[in-house]
Amino acid sequence: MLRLDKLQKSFGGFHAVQGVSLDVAEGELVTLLGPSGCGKSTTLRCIAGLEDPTGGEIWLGNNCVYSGARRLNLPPEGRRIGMVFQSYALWPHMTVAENVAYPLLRQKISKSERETRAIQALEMVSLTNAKDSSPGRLSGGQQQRVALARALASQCQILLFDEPLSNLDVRLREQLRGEIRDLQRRLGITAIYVTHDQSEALAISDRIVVMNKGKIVQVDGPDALYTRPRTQFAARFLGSVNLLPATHIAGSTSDNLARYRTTSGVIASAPAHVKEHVSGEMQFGVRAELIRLLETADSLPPDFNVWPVTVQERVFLGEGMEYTLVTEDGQQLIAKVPPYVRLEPGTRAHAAIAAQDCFVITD
Amino acid sequence: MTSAGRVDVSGSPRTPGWGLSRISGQTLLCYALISILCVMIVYPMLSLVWGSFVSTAATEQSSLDNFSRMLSSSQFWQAWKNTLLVSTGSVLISVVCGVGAAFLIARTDIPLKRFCEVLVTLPIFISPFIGAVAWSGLAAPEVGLLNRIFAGLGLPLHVNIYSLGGIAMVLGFYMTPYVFLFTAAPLTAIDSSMEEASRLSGQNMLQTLRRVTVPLVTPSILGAALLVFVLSMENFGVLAVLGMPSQIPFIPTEIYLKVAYPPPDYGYATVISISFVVITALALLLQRRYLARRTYISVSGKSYRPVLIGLGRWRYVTFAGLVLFVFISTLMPLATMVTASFQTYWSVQFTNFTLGNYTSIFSRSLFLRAAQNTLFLAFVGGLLACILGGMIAYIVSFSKASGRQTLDLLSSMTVGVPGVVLGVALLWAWIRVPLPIYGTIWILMIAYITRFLSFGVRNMSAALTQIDSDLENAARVSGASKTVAALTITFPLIRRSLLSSWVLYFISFVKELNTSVLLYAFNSVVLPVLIFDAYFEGKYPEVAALGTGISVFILAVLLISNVIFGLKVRQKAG
Repeated sequence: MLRLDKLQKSFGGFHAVQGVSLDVAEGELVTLLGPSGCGKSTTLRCIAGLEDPTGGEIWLGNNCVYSGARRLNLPPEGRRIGMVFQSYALWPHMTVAENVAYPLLRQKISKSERETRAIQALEMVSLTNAKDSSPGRLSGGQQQRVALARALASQCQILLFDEPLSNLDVRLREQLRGEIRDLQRRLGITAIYVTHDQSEALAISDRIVVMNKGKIVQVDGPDALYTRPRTQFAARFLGSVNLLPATHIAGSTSDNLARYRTTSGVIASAPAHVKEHVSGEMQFGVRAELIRLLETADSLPPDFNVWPVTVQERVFLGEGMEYTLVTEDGQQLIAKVPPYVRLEPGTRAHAAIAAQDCFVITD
Repeated sequence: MTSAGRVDVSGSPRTPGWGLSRISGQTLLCYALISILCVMIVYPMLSLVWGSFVSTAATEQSSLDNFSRMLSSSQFWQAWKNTLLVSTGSVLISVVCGVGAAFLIARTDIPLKRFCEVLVTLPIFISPFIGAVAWSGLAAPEVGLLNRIFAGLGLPLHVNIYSLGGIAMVLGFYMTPYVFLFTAAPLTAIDSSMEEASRLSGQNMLQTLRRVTVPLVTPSILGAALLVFVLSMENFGVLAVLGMPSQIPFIPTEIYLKVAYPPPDYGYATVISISFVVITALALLLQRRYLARRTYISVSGKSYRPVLIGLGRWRYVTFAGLVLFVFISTLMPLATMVTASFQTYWSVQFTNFTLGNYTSIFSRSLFLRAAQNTLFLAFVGGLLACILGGMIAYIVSFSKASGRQTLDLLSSMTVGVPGVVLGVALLWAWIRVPLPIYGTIWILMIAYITRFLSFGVRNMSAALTQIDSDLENAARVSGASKTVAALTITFPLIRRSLLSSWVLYFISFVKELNTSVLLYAFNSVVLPVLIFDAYFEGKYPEVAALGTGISVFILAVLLISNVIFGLKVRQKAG
């Protein structure tokens, strides 16, 4: 449905997007995730036609809308897309219904047809009763729903979301992202969603594209990305992670688990499907949320990696407790555990994690 | 994108709206506007320079003759000395009065602030030229109302407004609102936590004012002072009305006399013009640098409530003082003019109340023609200026068109050209062009639009920068082309600013004298010229009637646009 081929965009000497290639299937919701300045918004605006790329190709369905080599560049109005902006971008001099009907007006659709389709679109976001009000009188969440209705009304081939929920408060954000996800699934629309919020990306995406410095770091489903990040950047960006220096122990693989020598000489296991044969320094990844903090390591089932630690500091976070732990050779470990686990600083303890939940990074 | 790839255009179907043609649409408009401005400004200024080298004789040989004549003329140096003296005087008076009023209104608990503000800014809407006419009725030697009163009371007092001091005072009074507007805004918007931090560091209110507040607004004051300096010296109306009766030479009046009085000496007028434009342009460049420095005032979106100084028992005394100032500087001369407009003659004795002046003026065909021309110029010219200015503002502050910096520079260039100089330049530029422009109403229209274009551009640019570009982007992805998006989204969103710019142009055009006196012909006479001529023919009651009429008309336009459209018409300071 959407294909980016070595897309490039430079602003003077600054290379915002450097050879991004991506295929998005019909009906898929793909999120571009990354810190600010990683090129995710620029990529989206290139797809929309709001920025002129400096190289590569963009295909929407069977139509090439941009090609650097062929000097083809369709303007945004020729691309049949719907877009939802961070700032809502509702036109204050028109009513809600007029806003929603605007794309249809440009498609030269008759007045009665425009009205019915605008009402239909407003129904989808349950805002029909606001159709005659001025957008400025609506709350932020309602405004973004109107913007969504406007994007849906044109019956476009693809929906683009540019950080649509960033201006809303947390609770509304969670509610609206659910609605967006439901509508997108129900209507079967292809959608590209830009966000810097990892939990939002994990919650709504079919696939997540992690970007950094204008390049794609990793493309995967939310689950795979969380459990098997392939780079330090992807690992650190999603959740909170401890990366311990490790070396692979040759020929140790059994039951799909490979064994590594990690900090304090602890031998730890992790699923073996990543680049087994790489030798030398690598990082052993342990998610802070998945660590169990125990006083004794006796009752643990097999296939658990255990590090003896000393509690250095703890912070009460309400929904949990964050411990800073120190291993025997001085390596710090962060563990996020349920709030009932109470150990005083200075206590000796054991940090344990199931081998299945660990991963290894070689970059 | 490689250069080899660029050659390969044959393969793809020519879809409407190629990327490159889309960019060039705006760039094309940008270059079209640049060409228009070149014809309007650059070409006249170049012909002015060219004219200065052409000697006065018919030979038209290039020479520096005019420059040497100018530099050896004692009249030239005297005119510059007088011009600089009255401008400096005007700056001193307006800074003292303007900053004082701004401080009282912004930072003390003076009563009826809104009312005070309206009073202080009132002169901005009355042409200083009309103001000068009014002052001559009040304080001319012998026939001035004040001298008559002094004589009647047997007092040995005598005032003469036709003097350097008098002229500086009138200019200063009319420039006070500009200084006020420049300084009142930063004084109100100052981040009060800066002052609070100073108070907490142990400084009292007065020390805080001196060490924190005043330094923060100093760039604004200096910027205002330089602007007033330029506005004063280029104010042909005031300098002519009050300087010519006692033959005090000033630079703008010298230029006017060399062109308008036979035998005309164009070559000489152009060299003086060049010396004039060099000084004003330098002063304005300096002013821009001071205003650029103003950015360190932290004016954020937050609305601060500045700490007000309690005046205590002096509250009403201060208020009375402010009202008295406005009475003396603005209301008293205007009241005199209105009175004079109902008199048969303006001499030592008052005559009976009469409407004769109004009826005789309104029945004269010359008046009707002038009124018709003025209204046409103000209405149509204002509309054209608004359209041109709107397009320039859009390209400069809302597009990525290449060449927009050049456009910005060109459109702001006219601010540095004094009206009289622009008049001479346009005269030189169009006198030889075989188009029906010179000697027609069209040269006045060109002059007016050129002279005031940047005011509206600044207004509309300010409005445009408030608009989130995603509003237009949302229209683009909804299927609107660049032009349709601009016309259906962006311009409707700044419609108030467009309307108020039109009103601003309208009023400025109705008042414009500086270029008119040099460019009008019998058929293209306008109201300010009519007043100017009648004044020098000594028909004071008629002049007073015309001046009253034009002022009432302008105030009515302002009032109507305020009441009906809710517009706040005000020149952007800065």
